[in-house]
Amino acid sequence: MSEEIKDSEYEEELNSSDNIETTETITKVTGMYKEWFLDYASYVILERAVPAIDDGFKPVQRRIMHSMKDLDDGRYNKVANIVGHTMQYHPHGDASIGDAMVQLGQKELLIDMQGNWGNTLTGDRAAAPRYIEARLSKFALEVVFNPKTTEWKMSYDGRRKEPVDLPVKFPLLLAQGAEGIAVGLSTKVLPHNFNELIDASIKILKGRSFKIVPDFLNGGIVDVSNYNDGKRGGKVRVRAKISQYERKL
Amino acid sequence: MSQETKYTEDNIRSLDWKEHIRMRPGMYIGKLGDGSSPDDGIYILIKEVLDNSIDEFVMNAGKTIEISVKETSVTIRDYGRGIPLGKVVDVVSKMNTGGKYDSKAFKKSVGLNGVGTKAVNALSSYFKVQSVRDNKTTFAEFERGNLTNSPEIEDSSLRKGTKVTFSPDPEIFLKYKFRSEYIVKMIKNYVYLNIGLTIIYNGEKYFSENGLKDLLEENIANESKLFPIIHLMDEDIEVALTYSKAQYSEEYHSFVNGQHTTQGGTHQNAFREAIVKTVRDYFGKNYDASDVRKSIVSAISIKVMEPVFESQTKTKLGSTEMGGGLPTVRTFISDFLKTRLDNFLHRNPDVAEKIQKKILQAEKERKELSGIRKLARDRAKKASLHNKKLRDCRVHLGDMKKDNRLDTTLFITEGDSASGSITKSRNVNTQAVFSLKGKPLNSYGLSKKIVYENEEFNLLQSALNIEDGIENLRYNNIVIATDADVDGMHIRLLLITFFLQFFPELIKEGHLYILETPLFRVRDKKQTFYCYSEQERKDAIKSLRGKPEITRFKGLGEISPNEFVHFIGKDIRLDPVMLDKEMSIEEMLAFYMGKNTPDRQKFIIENLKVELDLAEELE
Repeated sequence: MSEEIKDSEYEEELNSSDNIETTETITKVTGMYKEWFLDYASYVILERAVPAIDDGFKPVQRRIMHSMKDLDDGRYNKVANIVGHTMQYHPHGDASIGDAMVQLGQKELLIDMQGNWGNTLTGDRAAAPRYIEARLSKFALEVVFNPKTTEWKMSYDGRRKEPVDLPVKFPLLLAQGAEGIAVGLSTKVLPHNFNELIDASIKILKGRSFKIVPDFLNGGIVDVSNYNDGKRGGKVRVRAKISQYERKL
Repeated sequence: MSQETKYTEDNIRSLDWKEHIRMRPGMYIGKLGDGSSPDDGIYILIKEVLDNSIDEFVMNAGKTIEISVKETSVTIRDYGRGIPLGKVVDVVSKMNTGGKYDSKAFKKSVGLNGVGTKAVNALSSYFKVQSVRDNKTTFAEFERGNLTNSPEIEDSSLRKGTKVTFSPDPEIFLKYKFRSEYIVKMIKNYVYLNIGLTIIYNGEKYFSENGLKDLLEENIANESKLFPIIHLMDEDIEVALTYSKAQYSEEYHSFVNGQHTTQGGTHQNAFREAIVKTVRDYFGKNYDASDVRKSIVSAISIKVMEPVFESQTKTKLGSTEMGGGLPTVRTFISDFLKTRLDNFLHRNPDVAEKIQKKILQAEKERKELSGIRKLARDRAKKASLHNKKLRDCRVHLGDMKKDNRLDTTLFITEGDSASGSITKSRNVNTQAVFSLKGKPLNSYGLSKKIVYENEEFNLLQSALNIEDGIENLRYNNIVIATDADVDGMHIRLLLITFFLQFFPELIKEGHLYILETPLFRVRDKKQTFYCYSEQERKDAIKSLRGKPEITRFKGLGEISPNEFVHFIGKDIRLDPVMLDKEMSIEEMLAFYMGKNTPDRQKFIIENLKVELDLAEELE
């Protein structure tokens, strides 16, 4: 601490530049915005709103599938129970998991449902999770899981393992479609016909060319001339026919 | 059975000067703090020493002052006249000793009583003062106010002047750290107020040619100025002002004898009044005072004989008289603006026209707001009796008589995750809690109306008491205490956006902070460590033998109230929210909080943060 001042030159010593870093600098508001915005945007994109292209699942869906596999013993399980189990992997509220599960069930592909799961045509909602039951469909058991080829990561509390991706042997993303609004990015994939997807898959495996367009579970007539292979800006036009039975309904 | 405390001759103590300072540092330097806030004691120490060097400059002795801050050690060197060599020890260690008692020239300085440097001396673990004059020099060294070394006067070839080196005592300032930003801000204020003075800080030069005009230039972006800054000067007074296109609130920087009066006082009130009066008289219309002053960005500096301040820390002027045969502060400022600003407006009709347009626009906006404001006022009246989101503390910033008023803190918490724990573990005298429900609205691009319409914002405004400007702010520190997870980050952004939009002066004056909470807890059966970074975690694991239990904190809800005491007590870690020049506020808010743009999309995609915690790593 004590430097003797015998003679001159302390002007120089005062202004030597190597001492600038020693005082701490503070992250300014623009730095804060940049960092936090990227944290938030990255999370919403990667962990919440956008499905992974490899298996077609959003994280909540993947965790539901993984939990159902955990619980699978061939019998129906109460949805409330599955939701509770999913919370071991998904650090969010039970309502959002329950809603995600009902939506997944309503696609009628991966989940074998029992009870009132709601109606996509009339908009009726499903019964409460404590009433309805579910188990994995035969198709899901066959196509979605394979522990040997699954890469694992730690769950949020560090106590369990969960899959990074599920090794899905089927173009699930195209079959189910997806919709999600994240920060800066959003996604919309329309659903496709199951049989057409299988035909197209076979064609790809054989190295032949193929073309595939959206189809809807609810049926209807669709014009896909501007579909543009589903790329950004592509359009699908749906025609509805409305006829009136009586003047007064 | 209460026992009566004995009160005898033994109880009466006369404290030695340094003992008294060390016992009651608050009386001399305000609060202690660790350097995370600009009014912390360690900066006041620098200021006290610097003030003496500035006085030398004012006496036309020494145009350059050099400051260097290395970790804990501060050195300040001026080229003034130097302390008379025989009195070097007395000046820094004998109370009520000073050279400014009878000199007329020092009548207009802030420190008159010769307390400053003694306080610095007593509060430093090492203090050294050296003086050079008439080719002779001597120095004196102290430890905590005790003289340790004072050699004989010897010959020297150095330039005349004074050099003070000190290290704040870590026993009094716990775990302190100097922040360059605050020191630079302080230095800038000095050079703005002392045209011609050069301060060299850690090798960097600070210098101002245009005084307060430069200060305003620094504080307002070029494109948001309504017109070039009006800069008026006379003996004992200097004024600069313009209007902002982007900001709703009034902004004043006021100074008395070179002292930054952050809380205003008589001169600032007189200045506000005088602007309105001058403008009204010029246009010959009786505009509403708030319309005239809306969006004004201004600075005033006056010199008063023997100023009187309302508080020990000299942040609010109480003098009504200018002294020295001049009229009252009020008349003096009013007369000055009446002639000089009026003349300026007559000579620059284009500026006058712009001001008039601005006033009319303000009037229109105010009338639009008035309906909803009344409604919100009624609601606020209820809120001031019972603000349901606020759990208040006993002391507030406005309680001038309380020593701990500068410690008053409002924690803004996210939902239920932390408000319960903070409420339970807080210091009820100085710490208040405001709990948000879910995410606040994104206020970017919305008009001020939303502050009244949105219940949460309205309650926050009334909790802070900043509807009519920040002079009546109820808490010195506003701390955003959200979870350290992504939604917490988002809430921070939304809240800072709210403050930047409607109350930017809160951030400019350094009232807003982010609470840093630990990311990990590492513990074994005997010891527990709370770690704020990956590095601290590794160190903690090393210091514990065997396999410690590591918990990663993701939400404040995971921390129990008895743990929370450590995070908001004296070891509290706060990150100040500070503005910078990298991007204008407008630009920044538009980019991050505004509409989605291809630019932003590209920015996100290029910078996407991927975090993967693969299972193999931990097995």
